Amino acid sequence: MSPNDEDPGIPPPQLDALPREIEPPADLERRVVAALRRGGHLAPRARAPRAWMATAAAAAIFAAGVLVGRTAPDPAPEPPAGLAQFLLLLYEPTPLAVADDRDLVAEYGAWARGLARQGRLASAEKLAEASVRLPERAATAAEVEPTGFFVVRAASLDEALEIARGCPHLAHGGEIRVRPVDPT
Amino acid sequence: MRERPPTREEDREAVARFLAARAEEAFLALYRAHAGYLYALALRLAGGSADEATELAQEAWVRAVERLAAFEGRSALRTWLAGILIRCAHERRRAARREAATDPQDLEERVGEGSPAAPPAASRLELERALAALAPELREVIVLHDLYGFTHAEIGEQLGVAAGTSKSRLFFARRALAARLGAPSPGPHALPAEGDSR
Repeated sequence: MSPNDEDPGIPPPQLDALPREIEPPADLERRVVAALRRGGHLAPRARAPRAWMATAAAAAIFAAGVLVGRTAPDPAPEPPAGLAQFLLLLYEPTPLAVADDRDLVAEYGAWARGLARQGRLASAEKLAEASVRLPERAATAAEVEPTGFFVVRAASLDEALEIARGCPHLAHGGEIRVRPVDPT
Repeated sequence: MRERPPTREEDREAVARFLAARAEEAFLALYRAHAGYLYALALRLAGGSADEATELAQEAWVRAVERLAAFEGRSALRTWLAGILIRCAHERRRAARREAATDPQDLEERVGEGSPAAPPAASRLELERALAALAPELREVIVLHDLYGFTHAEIGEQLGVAAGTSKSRLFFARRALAARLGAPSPGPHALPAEGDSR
């Protein structure tokens, strides 16, 4: 298309100064997504936690239970002295690239049990449903909810990052955010 | 906002990805690639009213998703989306049978949000105000032709009028805009005949 290919006999105004793109209001994206959901034009959000996360978390919790002596078929070692705790928050910005969830269950379980045997696993849980925000507000479309977490023990942030790098979650395309737990 | 519009191939891939599963993330990729362009057009067609532009853009996005399976890629996705927006705006105006409200406050807030290389906001604001003050049927033609590069044939198809009508409206729109901006305008002898689609 050429703007001036059909000139009606009067020069076009100098509109070059005007931007062709303008940032829309922040709530437009949320409104459009909500309208599309009402109209059934978007696939429903996955409400149930992934099977692998539930099972892997259960395996990890079992390992943690061994650690704290709730069950004692194989007494866990005392945590090494002088370690700090670090939160590993797990996200799935896109569906994980796996063919079979059962493989993940085995991988996550083995990883968590390995940490527990070294006295490095404090806790692990799956997270169900989306967050409820207070004060109440709708989630923006850009927000991604964590799907689970591990609390590990490490001597430093670098060591915690090294532990996180070994988590199979990363190998399958997931994201992990590592935060030190404030001991105070 | 993006530094450049998506290529046709990128658009086709993004549309196919969305249609495959209708996932929210896939829609947002499409939305974010074109939201700034579509909202800017909506704001101009709505005469500078941010509220009306937001409603218009929302309606156009929903209608576009309803019809996305019919998008064949013969035109750029952005042009196809603009066509839907233009028809939404036209239908709303015809239904309401009133001129879109102009809110200078909205214009002042919005015109400063363009590219960093744009001239000072004062001159842009003057242009936006002058455009917003035009009659809607003149404004839509000059915006589509002179700002967004649509041809008279394309405008005529979108608005349901003859290409010659679009051309004569463009003449009146340019003359009115020039008068508002203080520039000399040609006399009526330069007016093309109605229906002349040269």
